[in-house]
Amino acid sequence: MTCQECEDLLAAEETSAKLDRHLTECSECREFAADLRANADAFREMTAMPLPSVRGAVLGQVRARETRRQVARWGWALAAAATIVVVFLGTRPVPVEPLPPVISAKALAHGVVKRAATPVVNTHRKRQATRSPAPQEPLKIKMFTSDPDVVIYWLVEPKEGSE
Amino acid sequence: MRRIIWTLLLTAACAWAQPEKFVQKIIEVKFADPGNVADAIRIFGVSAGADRSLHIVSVRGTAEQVTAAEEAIKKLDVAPLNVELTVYLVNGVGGPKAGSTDEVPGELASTVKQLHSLFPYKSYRLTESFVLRAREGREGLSSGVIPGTNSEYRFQYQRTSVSAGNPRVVRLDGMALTVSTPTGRDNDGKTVLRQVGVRTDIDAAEGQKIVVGKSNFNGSDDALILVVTAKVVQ
Repeated sequence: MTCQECEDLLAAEETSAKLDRHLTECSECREFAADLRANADAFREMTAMPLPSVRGAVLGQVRARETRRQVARWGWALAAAATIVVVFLGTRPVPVEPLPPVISAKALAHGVVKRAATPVVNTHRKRQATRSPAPQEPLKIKMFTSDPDVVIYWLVEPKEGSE
Repeated sequence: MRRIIWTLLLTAACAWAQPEKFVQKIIEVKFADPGNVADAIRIFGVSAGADRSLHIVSVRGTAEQVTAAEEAIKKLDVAPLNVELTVYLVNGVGGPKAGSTDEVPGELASTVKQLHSLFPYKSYRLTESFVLRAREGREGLSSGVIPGTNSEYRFQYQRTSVSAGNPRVVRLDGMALTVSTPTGRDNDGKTVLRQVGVRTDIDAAEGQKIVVGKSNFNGSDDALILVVTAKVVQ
């Protein structure tokens, strides 16, 4: 059985010995099956809830799962990267680079200079750091339905101040 | 015998030493970008230049190389496909005042059945529908007033592309729907608008209905739902 056939069977919520065998052998399909099950559970709960609480509940579940997965996946990689950065910074002298030339607004308006040769250094870091964060992208949930010709994307706005 | 061998070797050496004949050709490119085409055909060992204003590619190489490049250009320079998008704006109606009867056309019956199985909205109502013809690689826009309301909608996407294979998949990058409803006037007398929208990239296989939705439309218990179908037309 191919992974594509396996995904089709899982999306159609069918079961078979062949499918079970493939799931025991293929970790990617196993993960996909777990995701589908989790989605189905989330939406079963969602339909039982009154409308105003739906958004928060979906958001909470999705975010918790995302966080767990990302921590597991990136934990070791981040630790290794951090070690390399520390060693690198500890052994390497920091070069002092001259400030790049400031491009005048007039030159830009005449289309003389389109792009700075080097990135312009922002000297107002403190002020920039106090700016409010950019608005978060909504979460996009893709839902497979029993009709293969109907695919649903549901967008969930993150709660304000949830991060 | 030795003389014959020497004669053969000499003839072969002369033939080998003769410089290869190069040919030049100017080829018209109708649809593709001449610069991109010139980049692609260099794989055949030809030297190629492009003129975007004249829509031509100039090729120089051996006869075989130029022929191969010419064949490749024929395959690359094809007319872009047209895509026909049918877009439906649907409201998922919740709350205590919602009726239980759906008001959608027959072609959305299967979609609404799936929505009923997933969401607790009591009914679904079509508010507007339109057909949009798009050319592959281009952006698209349609806007208007939602009938029976004072809300305006704006549907747009940044780029459309079509995959090969069967069924073909139409991709819409940066697809967005915005609904603007006037809510009053500010101190300067300017109209204050409440804007609600959805924005995402979608991949729609031919024959598929892609539903993009969002709860709490206009701060109510309703949902804003967009249904898109795509068809490739020649």
